[in-house]
Amino acid sequence: MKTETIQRLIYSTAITLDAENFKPFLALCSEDFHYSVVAYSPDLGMDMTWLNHDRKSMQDMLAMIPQHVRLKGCFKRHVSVYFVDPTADGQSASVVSSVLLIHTDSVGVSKVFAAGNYEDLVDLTGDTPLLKKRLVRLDTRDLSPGIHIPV
Amino acid sequence: MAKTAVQWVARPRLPDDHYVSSTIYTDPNIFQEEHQKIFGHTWKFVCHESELPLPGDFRTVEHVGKPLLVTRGQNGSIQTFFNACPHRGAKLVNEPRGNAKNFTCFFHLWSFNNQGECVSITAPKGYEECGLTPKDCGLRKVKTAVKLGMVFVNLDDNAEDFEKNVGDIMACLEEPMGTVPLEVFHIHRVVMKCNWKQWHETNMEAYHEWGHVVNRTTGIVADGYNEMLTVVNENGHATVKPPKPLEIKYDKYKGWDKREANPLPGLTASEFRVVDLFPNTTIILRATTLRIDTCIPVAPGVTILEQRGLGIKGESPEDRAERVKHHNQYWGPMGRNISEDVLFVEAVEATNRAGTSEYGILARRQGGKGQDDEMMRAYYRVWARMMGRKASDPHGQNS
Repeated sequence: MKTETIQRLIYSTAITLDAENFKPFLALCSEDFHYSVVAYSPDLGMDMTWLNHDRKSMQDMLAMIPQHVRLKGCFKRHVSVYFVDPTADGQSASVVSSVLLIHTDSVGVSKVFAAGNYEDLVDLTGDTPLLKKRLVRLDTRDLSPGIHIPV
Repeated sequence: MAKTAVQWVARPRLPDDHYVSSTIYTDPNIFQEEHQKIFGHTWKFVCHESELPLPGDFRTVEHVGKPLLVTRGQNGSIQTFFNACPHRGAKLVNEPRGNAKNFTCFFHLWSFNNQGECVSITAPKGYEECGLTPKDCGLRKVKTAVKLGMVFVNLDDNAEDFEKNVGDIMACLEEPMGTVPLEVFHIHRVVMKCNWKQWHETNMEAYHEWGHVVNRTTGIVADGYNEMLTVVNENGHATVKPPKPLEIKYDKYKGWDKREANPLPGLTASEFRVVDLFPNTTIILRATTLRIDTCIPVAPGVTILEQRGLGIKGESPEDRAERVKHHNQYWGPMGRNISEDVLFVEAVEATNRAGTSEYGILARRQGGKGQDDEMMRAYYRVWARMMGRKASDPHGQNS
């Protein structure tokens, strides 16, 4: 599968999350999709897991979002795909990207909200690539005031 | 009926302790006075002992802007010092954690052991003429107490003993926190645009649970919720005592489980407990998981929230993963509740700062039970005693 097709998948996940179009986002993910967010704690000397979902629990979480009190404005994910490395058998590819999450508030002020990497595993066994696993490794640890949606 | 300008600023027709002036959150003089009269004399949670498990381990922390160094000595005891070199005042330790027998200041290389004693001065001959020796140059020790693994400090050398000060308010924590070794798996900080007391209010005031979809579907519906009794001691430390263990209906929230398996010791499945320590530390237990939060006042309208999640040391990876999941559902920076609480308090701060709010109403009464505001009223009675000002009239304009 062409690298451009895999890159397009990664960018599409960002665009669908930016728009909070969660169904189209999940349509880009495999049935055994797994999503997690980690951040390294210098205070503890170890990684902290901040979100850890399979597809079903991700669906449940996304379904409840409209009922929550949330930060006003919108988020934009600025993603740059660094590496696309297909496995030897051609069944999957590991993809590393940087991600900047930028928040624009309701009066139009934009600020960097979080910085990190996507460490993705892409399933290449079907006609179109699907996101099988996403590990978000955040550099940012102060996500003031917090975020309800996946990075 | 909407109010005129005069009506808006008029004192509420309520008892004095049933409301507070919004200036207690915004006045810079009150903020400074709180540093001296409250934070200068009260016990403050700074870290958990699992963050420095071995002899020689240390942590650097902050209390009302003061950098502190917490060490575990070779004999296992935990001590705290100002993290400041007594020579020229450089911050002595600049890493968040580590292990060291001695600390050497990077400015002029004076060294100190983890008991706070100065063990060497660079080029000491230069001090012989004036008679200065290492024994004159120890670190400033800070009074320290460890309770149920939690490390507390007090800037006042003559402060009341911690155990005497808190009394039996932490009794409900003894089995879950005192019978198995715990360890911190999560620390995160949030810089909030709010006054430090506002955050502690969110931990004392149950009425705002209506604002959280999680709480209004899982907590308020719990049997006995409206019968849980507020208990506050004379020093402003508080807890709640339900008539029977308060079992939160976690599975009422879509996708969540009941939290029946693997509760912390002494807790029944789905049980909830909370202890609020004056002035700004809260311990919350939710069946399988436990959070300690505290905050660092930076300015009248800026506060750093520091929050920890704990699990049982040595538990299986599967149990830990479940505990972390439960912790994160509420409290992680991507949890369902914490963000909402931050947005709530920042919304209050926005109007306080602008001078468009005059008073905060603490008048809810339910016989001291359920969502009664008595915990906050009692808190501000202690605040008033320590500050020598009424929270409802801090500038004495209505006296």
